[in-house]
Amino acid sequence: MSWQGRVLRVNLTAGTCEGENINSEWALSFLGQRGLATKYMMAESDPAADPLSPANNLIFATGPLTGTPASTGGRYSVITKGALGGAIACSNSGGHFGAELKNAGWDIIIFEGRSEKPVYLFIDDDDAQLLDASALWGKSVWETEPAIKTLHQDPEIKIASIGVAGEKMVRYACVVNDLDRAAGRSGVGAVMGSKQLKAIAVRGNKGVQIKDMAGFLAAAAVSNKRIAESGSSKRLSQSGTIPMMNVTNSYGSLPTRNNQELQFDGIDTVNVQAMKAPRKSDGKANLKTNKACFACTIGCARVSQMDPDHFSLIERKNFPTVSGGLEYESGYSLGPMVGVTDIEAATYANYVCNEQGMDPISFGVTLSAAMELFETGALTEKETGGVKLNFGSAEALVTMVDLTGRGEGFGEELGLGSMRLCEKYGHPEFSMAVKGQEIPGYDGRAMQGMGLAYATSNRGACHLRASPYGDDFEHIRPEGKARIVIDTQDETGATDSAGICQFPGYTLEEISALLSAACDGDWSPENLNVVGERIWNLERQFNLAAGLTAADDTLPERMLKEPASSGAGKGRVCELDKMLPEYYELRGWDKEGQPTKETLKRLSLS
Amino acid sequence: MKIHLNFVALEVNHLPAEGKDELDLIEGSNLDAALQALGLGDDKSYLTLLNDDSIPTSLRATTILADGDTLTLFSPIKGG
Repeated sequence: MSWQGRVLRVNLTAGTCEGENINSEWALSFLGQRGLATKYMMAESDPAADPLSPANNLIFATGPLTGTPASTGGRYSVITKGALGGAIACSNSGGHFGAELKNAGWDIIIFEGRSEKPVYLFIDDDDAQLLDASALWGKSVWETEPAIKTLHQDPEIKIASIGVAGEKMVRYACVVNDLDRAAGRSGVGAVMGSKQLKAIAVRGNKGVQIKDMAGFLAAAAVSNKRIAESGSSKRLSQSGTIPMMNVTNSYGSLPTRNNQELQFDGIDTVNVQAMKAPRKSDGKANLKTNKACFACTIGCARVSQMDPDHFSLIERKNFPTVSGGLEYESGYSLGPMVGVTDIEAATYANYVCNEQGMDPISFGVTLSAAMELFETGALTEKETGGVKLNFGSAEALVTMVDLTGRGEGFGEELGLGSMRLCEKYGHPEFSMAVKGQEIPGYDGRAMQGMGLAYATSNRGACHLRASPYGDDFEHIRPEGKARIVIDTQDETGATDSAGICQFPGYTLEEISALLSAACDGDWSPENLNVVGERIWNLERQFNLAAGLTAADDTLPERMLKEPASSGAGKGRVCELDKMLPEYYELRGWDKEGQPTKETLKRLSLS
Repeated sequence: MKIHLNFVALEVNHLPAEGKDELDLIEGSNLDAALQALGLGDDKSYLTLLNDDSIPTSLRATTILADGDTLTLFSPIKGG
């Protein structure tokens, strides 16, 4: 119960789809979604394999709370070896696809091998089959979803697919579901493209069985009331995450122009006020409304409407003007990071990232690295196809997002990601990435805890693997950060494996109450902490087996050597050298960053 | 003395009177006194910057303000 108890194993090389029972012993130790799928990866997929080879498995996984009435209980994750840096990738998405997959009776889909021709997986409850996707290959996400619904004459089918970026194996291609929700990070869409798997289309009618429905609804009522009354939920509903832009700008931790600056002189053009202000051209605001994912009681997602007369749309007359809008991360990476003050251009770039299936964080940060290469002369118009890649150029942003999404021209080079691009052009120090993955919208000089979180994140630089925000905004010093980062890393490991979102701010006590009513197992808050720690160490084991070492637990040189020029962290660098040894010690790892035998034994990982 | 005010991403119930962008205080006032004058009290659901320096909640009572200082209040929100 709560789990469906079923795994769908799809061998793309052989063209087979076979159902099997879930490993229930693993489920009781690793919960679901991120944790359970990582266990399957560790057991069945070679960590040393090339991420874009048939030997790298690709897993879609739900959690025990996916498809239940728990607030935000609609999450799923894509787990594989990531295409950007070869670390374990786990990319989490909302929308309605995950709940539909669970309702079809499947907890997990494991894709093995590589198809000889483009295919998509069609699931109708127990019936699963691989179908020819030749006619879909070369189409965007926005063309693929309606095409599959039309083909099957069912508008209720839920679809997760890749666009052309995934087909072309852009290193940060993502998997998009419900048109604008995405398993966005780590290049999971490139892995999907390498397998010639265009889409998964699901129709589910089975429902999810709950062990103690009365107890579950009582637990959900308690957490839902707390969520409804919390100030952060109201803010997320009204304004999404983009108010963070003013916070990091005020604090001096907003990465700007490839982290050369930490406060943006054009902040008023791309912040929440700019999104809500009526345009001079048509009197409408960029922000149209909000929307919610399956079972969500917050509704943080933004829906924007672009200015139909904006220059980016001149040659795209049928391009939708209303779609998923800027969030904080996409707003930062397509605005301040590239120095662009045109919110319509940033919105267009975000649309194209959804249309073609690309992570807007990695795209924007890679473009910002290219802009620094261009402005320092390492790149010229000869390489860029005549485009002047200057910071602040909205025209360059629009041109390059189109080219990258289609894998054409200089966009093919941008599709390498910042690490490979900067190495190619002789300036690896311009890449703002950790373990090959580009940084989110926080600089580690003013936010030391986030610096440690980036350096130690198992999937590369990430703002969702730890939560040091509160302390970082109060204390700019290395002391105490290791404990905060570890505790919140373990908590998010449990949250991400349960099938719910991080935004409601669920406590482990609330998750415990929901899980204990929903399914078998020991889900006390104390054990959930252990489960989270176990998952973190399992991911670490995968990375070590993949060849990563302690040397990969680092930050861009700029954060370690160039003092912040302004803001609360002025004059500081990120003091990772002081935080990392303490982090290893508290984790129960040796000086080389390897979990000790005692740690592995304590977590039942040896 | 006059203190300049800046409110960033605060929840409505944490905002003082609308449009307030300056605060009059007696010389030698500390940060705690400024927050009391704004009617915000010992609430820890917002954080403070004095000019460009982050001021921990534990130092609010001992941080002395000067004429012309800029006090920024903001929410410790998460991004995504």
